[in-house]
Amino acid sequence: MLRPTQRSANLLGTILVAGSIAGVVLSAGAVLALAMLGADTRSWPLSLGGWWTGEHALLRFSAGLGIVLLAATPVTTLVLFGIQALREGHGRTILTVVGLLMIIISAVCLNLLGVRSA
Amino acid sequence: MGYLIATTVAGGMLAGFVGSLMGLGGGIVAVPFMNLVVGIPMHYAAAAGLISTLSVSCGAAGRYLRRGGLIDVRLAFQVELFAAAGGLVGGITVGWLAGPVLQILFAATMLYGALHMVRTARRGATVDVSGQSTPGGRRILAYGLCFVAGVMSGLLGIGGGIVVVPVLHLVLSLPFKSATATSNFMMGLTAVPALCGYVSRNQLDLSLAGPLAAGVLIGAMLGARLMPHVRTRVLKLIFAIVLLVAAVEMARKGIAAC
Repeated sequence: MLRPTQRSANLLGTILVAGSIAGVVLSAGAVLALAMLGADTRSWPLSLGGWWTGEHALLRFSAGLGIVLLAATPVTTLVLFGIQALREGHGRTILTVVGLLMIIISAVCLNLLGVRSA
Repeated sequence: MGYLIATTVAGGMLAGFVGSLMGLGGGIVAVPFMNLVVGIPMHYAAAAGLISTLSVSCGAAGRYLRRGGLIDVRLAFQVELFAAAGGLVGGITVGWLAGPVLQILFAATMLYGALHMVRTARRGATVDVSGQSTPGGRRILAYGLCFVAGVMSGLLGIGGGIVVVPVLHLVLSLPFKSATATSNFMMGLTAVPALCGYVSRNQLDLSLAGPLAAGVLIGAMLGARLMPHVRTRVLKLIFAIVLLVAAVEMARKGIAAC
């Protein structure tokens, strides 16, 4: 199975740090701005029904986008690792990455289909 | 609103600080803080805990990867397959459980966490595993335990490090520091499928998620800077006592509400 080179490990590490900081700053900054503007943020979930609706739509959109960015960051590293494995022809690594992506895609699909267990 | 944001940021800082010093995701601090101090329902607190886990995982694993050698990426992805599947199962199953039941489960997890802290604080708690190979049976045991850690992560909003680190170290023979770093790398990927379940039930409150994540990042950075100057053994024992008190309080609330 593939082991990443130090160069690719550096790239994965930079993506993890930069992605998480960007997501957190975007989300926390937007929430702070909304609080300063006196917007009502009670009962404001991240939902596919539209977390950005209501007043200050751009700020609301940014707050949710930041969290989506934070969640997408580790998935991006997984995809990049999979691409590297594909290029170098490491079959077992490709299968592992595809398996992990299938689990994440299943979770997103369940969310999209609105599967609620309660 | 301002008070809620300030309290959430403070809770996040505490979770990030303690998490980075103890090698945990921070969820084990963030969830009881959000539930017992901020007063939000358990399902919402667990969703916030997963955001804390994501934040700590990305920040810490990113630094470990750039430093090189500490994270066993190959092994991480292998066992992550089972942890992520567990995360998905936990994230869906939690919808069937009532808040008080979750509180009792979380209290039990905190008790285990306190024992884990005491055990690792003792000298010689880490085992020399250099050069040991991993037989197939132990590998299957590790996969099963990582699945359980994933389910716990999805159910309770924690990173699962209290289970994954011992599995990587004792079952898969990874050196202790490498096990901690590899567990940090895995936590983020476990949290993603778990979080999807909470989002589908509209349980991820955006007014709390961003401020909590920001607090966690700041706390984790402070913790990493202070790490070389503090005696983690003493801190672990103090943290074990705090976990014990929080576990009793959470169990009391859960039992009273049942």
